[in-house]
Amino acid sequence: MFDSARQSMLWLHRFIGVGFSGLLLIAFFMGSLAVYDRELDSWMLPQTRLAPVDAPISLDRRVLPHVASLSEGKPLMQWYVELPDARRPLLRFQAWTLEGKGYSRFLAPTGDQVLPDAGSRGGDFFYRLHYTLNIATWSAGTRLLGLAAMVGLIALIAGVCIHARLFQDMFTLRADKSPRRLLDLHNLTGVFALPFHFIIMLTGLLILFPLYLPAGVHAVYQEQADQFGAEASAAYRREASGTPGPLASLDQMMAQARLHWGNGEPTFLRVWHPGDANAYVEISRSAGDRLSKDEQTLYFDGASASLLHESRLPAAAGTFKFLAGLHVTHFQQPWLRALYFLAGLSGCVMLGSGLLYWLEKRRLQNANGRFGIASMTLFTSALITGMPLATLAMLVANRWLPVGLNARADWEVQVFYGAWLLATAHAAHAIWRSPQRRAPWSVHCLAISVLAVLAVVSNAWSTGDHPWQAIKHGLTAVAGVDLVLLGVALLAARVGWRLHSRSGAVVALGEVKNG
Amino acid sequence: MTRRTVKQDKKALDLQRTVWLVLALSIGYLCVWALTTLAGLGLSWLGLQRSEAVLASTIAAFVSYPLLVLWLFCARPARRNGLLVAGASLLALGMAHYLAGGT
Amino acid sequence: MVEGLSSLMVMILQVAGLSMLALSQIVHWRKVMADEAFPGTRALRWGALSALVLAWVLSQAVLGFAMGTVFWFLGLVPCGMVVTLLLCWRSAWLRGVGRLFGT
Repeated sequence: MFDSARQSMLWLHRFIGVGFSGLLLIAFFMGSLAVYDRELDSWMLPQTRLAPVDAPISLDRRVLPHVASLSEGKPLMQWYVELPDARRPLLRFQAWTLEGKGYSRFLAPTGDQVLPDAGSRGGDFFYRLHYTLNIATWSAGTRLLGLAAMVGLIALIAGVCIHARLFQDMFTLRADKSPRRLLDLHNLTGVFALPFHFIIMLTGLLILFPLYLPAGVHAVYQEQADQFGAEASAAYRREASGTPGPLASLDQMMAQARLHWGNGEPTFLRVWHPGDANAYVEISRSAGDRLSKDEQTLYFDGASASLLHESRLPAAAGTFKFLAGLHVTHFQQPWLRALYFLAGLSGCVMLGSGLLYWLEKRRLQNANGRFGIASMTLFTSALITGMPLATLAMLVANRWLPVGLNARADWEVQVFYGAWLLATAHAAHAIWRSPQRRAPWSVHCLAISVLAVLAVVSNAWSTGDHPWQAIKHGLTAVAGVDLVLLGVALLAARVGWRLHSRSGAVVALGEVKNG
Repeated sequence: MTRRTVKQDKKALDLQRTVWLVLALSIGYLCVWALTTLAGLGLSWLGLQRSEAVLASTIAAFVSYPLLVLWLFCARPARRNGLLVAGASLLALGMAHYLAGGT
Repeated sequence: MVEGLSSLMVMILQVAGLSMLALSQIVHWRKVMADEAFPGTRALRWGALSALVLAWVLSQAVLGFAMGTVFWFLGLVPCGMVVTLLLCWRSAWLRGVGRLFGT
């Protein structure tokens, strides 16, 4: 089958690259956006743009009186609040009834305000897309991305093995040689971010291991598989008694928790079986100052506020939480988050440049025939420029759709997919008309630039929070998103203009030669 | 005698390689399923807490799988390796079922 | 503020270290330093190692061992790209680094 191990790894790397880079591009691009999901929430849900408040929050006064009205008075299995932090200065309330119906609302940290229903899925849309592809049937999207990530790991290892001159080429970018510069870019972004790519894909897979490899759970727990979750997080559980009972002061329990941990703030509080005599309260510590997702959760008796249980993670569980923490970036350190974002984007560049290099080589060799080249060109265009176009269109729609629109969040999602389809259709038309079956890169780049500027202008026009104003009011998230959008617009315009003038020169050269 | 073009030969070769990749991925998955089952049972039998046994064996499985598939795909003789690993995995699974009481 | 400044310092040290590493390869030395004599790989590579280790120590001092190490690894991405792009389009900017090691 192969002449050598190296040849087999080369084939493997190319095959996986061509076959799965598309899925991986979606995961890496949306995953990078998800690093700033709360900042995107701030931008896309203007009613949540509140300046951070320093005063301590009393849950007894701020949340407890509203629980019944927020859940339509139904008997609840549990309700919880996510407390404000540096990235989101709001309280998020969620409740689950005994029948499994959910309620979710944002509360302002002070006063009595319950914020109106969000007319948008916000940054959560990108987060969910990056690991589920929004295909929920049989978890098909998640399984597909799992396969892509695992073969991606294999391709990464194979890539390192076949990279002949790893050290010599470490800083090499032959920008004047096409398509060699694409391979150089692929190698650079692959090697510099090698630890990141490896860890991100491995930990992403590990987090969802009950879906990807439930062998261990089946073997050890057999029929009692549902107990695994509680045991793995050293959680505490007890059933409701059926008789009503009081709930002690939540603020007192939070104070006890702070004392117990020594340092660290509560980030999450959940009341199990509210209103029942056997109610108990779960309080988790913020993971904002550490990498691990270990939340050192404490459990208090609902009626007496006495400490029932402290979850201490044993070695393997602690390791697992640490690895998960490396992936989900719950820590608050802004510079480290920025580096994760950049590394994620470098992953996108690695995947995109790999695809483009393969495509250019095939085009030069004329190996695939016109239809093969055209379809692969369309595919790369749909992913590399189509996906960002769809994202920007969604942001613009977010500002333009009427506030009172029914199912506004769903409309936004329709705009996302519609714009993606439109960009792909435009690319198909352009590729068909092009004599060399080339994608309309420059037009798409210029479109990206226009949409990015439009998004910033739409935000300023519809909310008045242009970047300078936002910074003055302490809304750094909104200003941040706007400034990044402007940066994207500049970069896309520059790239689009250079590509346009270069292709113009090529066409002119062709005319001179033929004329 | 039929004339096969270079292109047709290449297509057949690519198909053969693709089939082998799918096989390597599947045999590898069978193998880590078996190893995870054995390791999980073994660790919990040795006294480790149940959830710990599951997590430790699973983390090890995810790290081993890509290396195993890469080895199965690239090392030679490929067919012999594939058969050996598949056979050993089935044996290990059978053993695990017997040890766990069988279902 | 302190964290911001020290994060910046870590990345400046990484850029310095990676530039020295790049210049230790004669191809890049020739491009940046034109006709100046190549001082050999040893001094440049020791310089690179020192700068990178110092960056790691500083990173850990500010962010703690785990976060500091992760920060250092991830910092290599933008810093490596910056050095590569400088070598490609603004190689004159790296002359200062080369002169530190010139004869």
